[in-house]
Formats: sequence, C-alpha cells, structure tokens
Amino acid sequence: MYANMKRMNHDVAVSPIVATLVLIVVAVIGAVAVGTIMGTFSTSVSKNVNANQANAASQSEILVAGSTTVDPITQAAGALYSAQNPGVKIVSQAIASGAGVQAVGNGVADIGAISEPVKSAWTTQFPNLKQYQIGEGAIVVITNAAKPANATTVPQLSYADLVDAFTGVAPSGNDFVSGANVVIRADSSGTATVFYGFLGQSAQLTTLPQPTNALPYQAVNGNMAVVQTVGSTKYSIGFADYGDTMTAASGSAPTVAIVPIQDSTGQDYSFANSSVSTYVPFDTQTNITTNWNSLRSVAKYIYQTSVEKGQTPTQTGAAETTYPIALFRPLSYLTNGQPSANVQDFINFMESNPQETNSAGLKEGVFQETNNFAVADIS
Amino acid sequence: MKEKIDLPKGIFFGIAGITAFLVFVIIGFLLYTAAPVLEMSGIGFITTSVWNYDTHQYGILIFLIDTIILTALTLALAVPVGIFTAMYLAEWAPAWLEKILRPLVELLVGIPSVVYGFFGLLILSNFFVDDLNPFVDHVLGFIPIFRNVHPYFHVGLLLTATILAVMVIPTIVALSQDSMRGVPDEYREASIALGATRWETLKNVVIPAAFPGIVTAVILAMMRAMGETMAVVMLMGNTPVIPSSVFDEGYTMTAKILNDIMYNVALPEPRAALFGIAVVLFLMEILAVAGVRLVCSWAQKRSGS
Repeated sequence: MYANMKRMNHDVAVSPIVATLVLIVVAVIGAVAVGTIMGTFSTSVSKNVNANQANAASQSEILVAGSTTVDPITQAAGALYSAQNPGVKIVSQAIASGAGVQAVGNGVADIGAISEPVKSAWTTQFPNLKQYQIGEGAIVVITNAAKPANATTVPQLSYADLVDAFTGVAPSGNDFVSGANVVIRADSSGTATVFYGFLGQSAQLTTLPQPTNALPYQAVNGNMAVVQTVGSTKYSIGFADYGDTMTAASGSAPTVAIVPIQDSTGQDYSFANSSVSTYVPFDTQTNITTNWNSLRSVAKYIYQTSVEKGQTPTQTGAAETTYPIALFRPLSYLTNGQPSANVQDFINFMESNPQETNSAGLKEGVFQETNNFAVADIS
Repeated sequence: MKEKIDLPKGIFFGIAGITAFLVFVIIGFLLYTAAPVLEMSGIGFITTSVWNYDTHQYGILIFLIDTIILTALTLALAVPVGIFTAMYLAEWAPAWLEKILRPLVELLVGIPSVVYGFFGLLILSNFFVDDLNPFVDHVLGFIPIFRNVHPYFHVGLLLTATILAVMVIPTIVALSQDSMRGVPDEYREASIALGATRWETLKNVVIPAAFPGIVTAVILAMMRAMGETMAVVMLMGNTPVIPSSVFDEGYTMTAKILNDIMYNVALPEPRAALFGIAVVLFLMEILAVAGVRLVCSWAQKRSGS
C-alpha cells in the first residue's frame, strides 16, 4: 500500500490551465464529430426534398410597424397572406404613424404604416422613402354612448366649440354639458395630425393648456385606447379612426356614439346611423352598412380626384352633406428604398383588396371588414 | 516554490468586473447622448417647465415633481403594508402559514407591469371611480388634496400609486422578512427573559437590529417605483400638470420618455433631450439612495445602536 502511495507522490498534478485547454479541445473535436455525423444524415434527407418545400420550410418574417389605424387591416390581411404563402409571417406592430416612419427609415421594420399624407420632414430625413397607398380612412368624433359630452338639444357640435375643446380653450358656446372632458393622443399619431389639420392647427397637440374652464383632458396611446377610454369615461369626447370606432359603436350594447359635427364653414354633417344593425346589401357577394357606403362615395371622389386626376378635391365636389373631406386620409405603406421581392409581393397583395369569407358566409374585403376603404375598391 | 494562480478568484473577479463595467457603460452612453441638450439648457433643464421641440426649449420641472409625488405616495402606501406583512410572517405566523403566504406574495413580482396596467385600467379603476373616490371626497373632501377633481376619469395619481404599491410590496416583504429572521434568536430570548412582551421585543430589539435590511428593501422599492413606465403611462393620464389632489392626473419622466422616444429616436436634439430625462432620473435615484442611507445611519446613531 505504501509503495503505491510513494509512486503517486512522485506524480506531478496537471495544471488547471492545461486541463481547461484540453477540455475545450476535446469539446470542439466532439462537436465537429457530431456535426459531421448529423451532416451525413441531413444530406441524405435533403436529396429527397424538392426546392419548393425547402422554401416553405424556411420561415421569413415581414415586420409592419406604424399606424394603429392600419394595424387591424394588416393583421386581417396578414393572416390571409400567410395562409396562401406558408413560410411567410406578417408581424404588425401598432406604435403610431410617426414612430412607424422612424422604424422603417432606420431599417428596424420592413414596412412603415401611416394614416396621414407623407410629411416633407420625413422625405428630408429619409430621401429614399417610397409610398404605396393601400386605402383611405375616415376620422370621426366620438363620445360616451350612455353619457354624451354634447348636450342632447344640440343636433350638431359647433365647429368653434369643437376647436376650443381640443385646443385647451374654454368653450365659447354652450354645446357641452357640465363635466365634459376630452381625450387626445399622446403618441405621434397620423389620425391626430389630420384631425388637428381639420381644426386649423398646423400640427397635432399631445398636451393642452389648462386655463380655468377649459375642458379637462387625458392623453392616451392608440386609436383603440381612445375608443376604450371614451367608452368608459362619462361625458368624454375624443376623435378616432372610423374603422376602430365601429367595433365599439355597433352591436346591441354600444359604448361610444359618433357625434354629428360642423366644419369651418358652418356646414352641418349628420351621420346616417352609427349602428350596423341595418345592413344594406351592396351586391350578392358583400354586406355593408348605410354609412360605410356613403363614406365610401366620398373616399372614392377624393381618391379619383387627387390621385388619378391630380386635382384638389373640394367639398362641393363631394356629396356636400355626407362628410368633411378634410377628415379623410390616405392609408399607406412606406418602404425605405426598393422593397425586397417578399415585401413587394405583400404590398401588391394589400393593394388588391384581399377578400375573405366572413361569419355570415359572404365574401368581404379586409378593408370593408375593418370599415376602411381599399384603393382597389375606390379607384 | 511556484506561486499557484488562484483561478476561481480570478474568474469571479472577472465576472464581477464585467458587471460593474456594464454600469459605467450605460451611464457613459446616457451622458454622451444627452450632453448636447444638457449643455444647451444648463440648469434650466430641471428648473423650467416648457417642453417644446419646435422652439428648442426643454424643461422637465413638472415631470420631475410628478415623479417625486408619485414615488412618495407609492411608498406611503407600500412601506407600512410591506413591513407589517413582513413582521407578521417573521414573528407571528406559524411555519405552515408562512410557507403558503410568502410564495403567494412573491408571485406578485412575476406579473408583467403591462398586466398591472390593464388590471388597473379595466378593473381597479371602476372600483375607484364608482366607490372609493366619491367616498374619500365625501369624508375628507374638506382637505384640498382629497377632492375628487375629475369624478369621471379612470386615471389618477392614487390609482397609479396603488398599482405601483402592489408591485413593490413583494420586494419590501421579502427583504424585510429575511432581515428580521436574520436577527439571532438569542436577542429575542434575552429580551423576553427581561420581561418584555412580544411586541416590545419586536419594536425595541428586532426592528432596530434588522433596520439596515429594511432600509435596503425600501430603497429597492423606491427605485422600482421611480423607474416604472408601462403601468404609469396607462394610469396617470399623461397631462403635464402638478396634481392638485390625489385624484388628479400627472406626467412622469418615464412616461414622457416612452411616449416620445419612438418618434424622436433618429432626430439628434429630441433624442438628446429624452436621454437627458433619463440622466436626471438616474441622478435622482442615486441621490435618493444616498439620502435614505444617510437619514437611516443618523437615526441609528441617535438611537445608540
């Protein structure tokens, strides 16, 4: 026993550094060996796979970031597109139009979705920005359905009081009830830019001054947050995309109602009905509402006049009492430079107004389904 | 004899060094990005209240005050509840009950802050608007800070502070309880042997001995409350006013950064201004930690421990 111990005592212990290096080398050799063995398996498998299947198996993702108005349309169309093109996934991020432009310009997103006309500041910042208009949308003024902000004796909210409410000025008229309050957007919203343009402001306001008797306000992020907040706050008034509003303004228990308003010339605009309970058959294949149909005629006039004829649309050109043209805006996809083939294919798909079968078994375009207007439909 | 390299010590030192280095990297990046606007605005950055990208005016006074008010109210709600819960769990709770209660409290930490925000917005806010706010206004409305200034709003300072308090209570409970449990039993036994009651032992022996741990718990809770963003954006109203009552709205520094950063991330000056807010927030946290530790060491010296 002691002889063995003596022999062991003469052995020098291996240095820990050497031991670690040996371990690393063994691990690398092991990994290479395993990889080679697996590789021979995969080569034999791949010989049996044809090119199409390989394309389908590789997942590619298209990131669309921007407007909360366009988000529901992208999501609905994206699901259709992925069903037809397995292996391509459409991811939609609703972060507001301005943030979407920054995302696509900085290469974070493949497509930037906006719900306002392209600003010159954006093309200065990103000279290679390309615009693809996919539709038109409308903006509506909404109030709490159970406890509206406008007095019931007031058939239309006057333009002056509307401007005062949304610019932090004490309302000069008597159109609002006691306790009326305002909901505005805190993010870089395209909807807000267009709405404040209608109110005669050069840019949207994310915070309002609060002199005495001005209506108190709160600021939220996203169209759906405006709809949800107005729907749950008594005597509140806000503005939101028509498409996003209809989810809460329709059905048997609506939480918001659309407010009839005036424009800057004093022209009154009533809304046919904000409920979708009466469907008007458009043709044998679709099912639409009365007021979507009347808004569609204005959107069609605006698109054909401005885009196809290159002229400026005027309120007298449109059906005069239908809706202010200043509350319509183009819905567009932006790319930074020429898009890749995948992305271009998806954009073409959106521009074609993809159709799907709705719960009633009828064919409906995704734009129609979300209460917006597709370029393919209005051109 | 050849000196052996102490490999474990070297590895652990290296990892600790990397962690410390990360802090310096983050601070350095913040300061570097924020420098242009901080230089331009000077002390006016924290003393003025106008924030306008077009006129190049950046003043965060209102955001700063709102952050301080929200944090103070959160701690006022969370610290008593947290410490009393920890006291119960450490001193009175039987072992089987403590084994049930403690994990339940710690589960609260795992809930994402956006879920807290939704819970506040969709569930708790209804209780506040329909029941709590009118009740408090009715009972305490003669004091201006308890007036229900926005009776219909589902946002407000007290609602936000309540949700933040729920978020930070687990931190306070866990650290305070461990700190109280760490007080040797001999102290308690000696105190009881001298004739003190259980409560007197707790008050005069256990709490002072566990004080440093409790202070650490409060500091961590304060830092979490100061840095919380998602829940605050959803529950505070995003209006740059100094709240006149606990039911009023506000706009904290973190909410301002979140709302504006996506749109301004590529524009040098607005980005520098928003990072400036982050720098000030960071400095505030350092000062708050230093202040709390100073006050507590002074309190301990005074009490003679």
